Amino acid sequence: MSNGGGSEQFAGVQALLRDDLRAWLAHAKATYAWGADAGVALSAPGKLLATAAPSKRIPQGFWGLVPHEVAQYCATSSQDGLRIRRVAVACELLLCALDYLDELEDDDSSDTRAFLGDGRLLNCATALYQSALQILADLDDPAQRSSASLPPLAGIASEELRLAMSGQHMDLLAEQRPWNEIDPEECVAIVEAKSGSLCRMVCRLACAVVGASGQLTAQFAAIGSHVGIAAQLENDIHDLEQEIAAQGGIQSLKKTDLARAKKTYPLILAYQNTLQKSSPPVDTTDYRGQGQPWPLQAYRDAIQQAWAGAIFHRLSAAALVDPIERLRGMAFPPRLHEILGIDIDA
Amino acid sequence: MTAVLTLVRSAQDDDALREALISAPEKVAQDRHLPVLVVQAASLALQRDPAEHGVWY
Repeated sequence: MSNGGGSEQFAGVQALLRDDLRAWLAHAKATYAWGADAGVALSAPGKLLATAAPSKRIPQGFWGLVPHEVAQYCATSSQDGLRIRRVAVACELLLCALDYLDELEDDDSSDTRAFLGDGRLLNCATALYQSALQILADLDDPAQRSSASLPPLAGIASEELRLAMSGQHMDLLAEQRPWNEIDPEECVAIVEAKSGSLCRMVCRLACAVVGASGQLTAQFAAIGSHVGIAAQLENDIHDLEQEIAAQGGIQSLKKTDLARAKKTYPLILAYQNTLQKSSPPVDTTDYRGQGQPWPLQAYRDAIQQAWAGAIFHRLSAAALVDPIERLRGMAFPPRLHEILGIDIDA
Repeated sequence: MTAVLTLVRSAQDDDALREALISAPEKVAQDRHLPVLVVQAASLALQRDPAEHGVWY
């Protein structure tokens, strides 16, 4: 399986998108009080303007690169380049905004949050969100559209964002629910709503901006859903692994998913493993069993189970490549495989 | 995805199934009438090196 996309093959596209984003940022700084803080937010690790060393796995500006690569593959006209880049920048702004909103909602820490403070970060994220939607609305302007039949980008974003916010809300509400009320199927449904929808949105926007056919768009939307779900599961697995590794066990966990009783997929599975495999049964009313920790093996098994789920969604996305290539009449370029994380050796 | 979870859980309690999933996943798919993707996912998960990370982090 691919180890992600920190490779240099995206350097050229990243440079183009950075130029566009810097031009947008210069205007924002000159016009709005939040402009300077937007520059800070967009320069955090993983973001397109990051100054830190790039991740080995995720290329900087990932959320701009995905729509760019999908749209380039679907485009039939070389005239679409500027519009594709504007959609890519809008996606980068939008997902950056959502990332910070999520950080605040989950009370996670970051250097950006510490530097700006919650009030400025919240206002800046809101401004980035609104700016992204404005870019999409501008592209929907009949004067800027290459064809009157293109689907409205703002409508696509609105539809998927409302679903994502519903998923996010379900996730927050789940924190207050007891462990025995949520099963793995519901947990995956929440993941699909909150994360699958966002990656699907980015793929749909990419298809729409170049006027891809309904069939092609539907296939890319499905790929986006699978990739978004897989990524969220991997993230949750990674968080659990880190917590276990950092604490040398689960007895003294301090933070994040476990401490907040977040109903992530691996934790729901760990809960069920504890119910099924412990003899005598441990108290599962609390994640740490009210002083009696869930067995470490329950977490280890859950990580393997959840990993299978993540792989299943990556494989499901990869299985859509053949039909897409037949529809498009063109092979998937390696960069597209790479950015979607679907170059799986199975 | 429920089928994947069920299969991995079974394999965690059954060494023979685990070995079969790793060495001959196609046969497991055939014998158990399971979709190939389901068996592939279970097989890859069981072979995962704990040091291996996901794609996006």
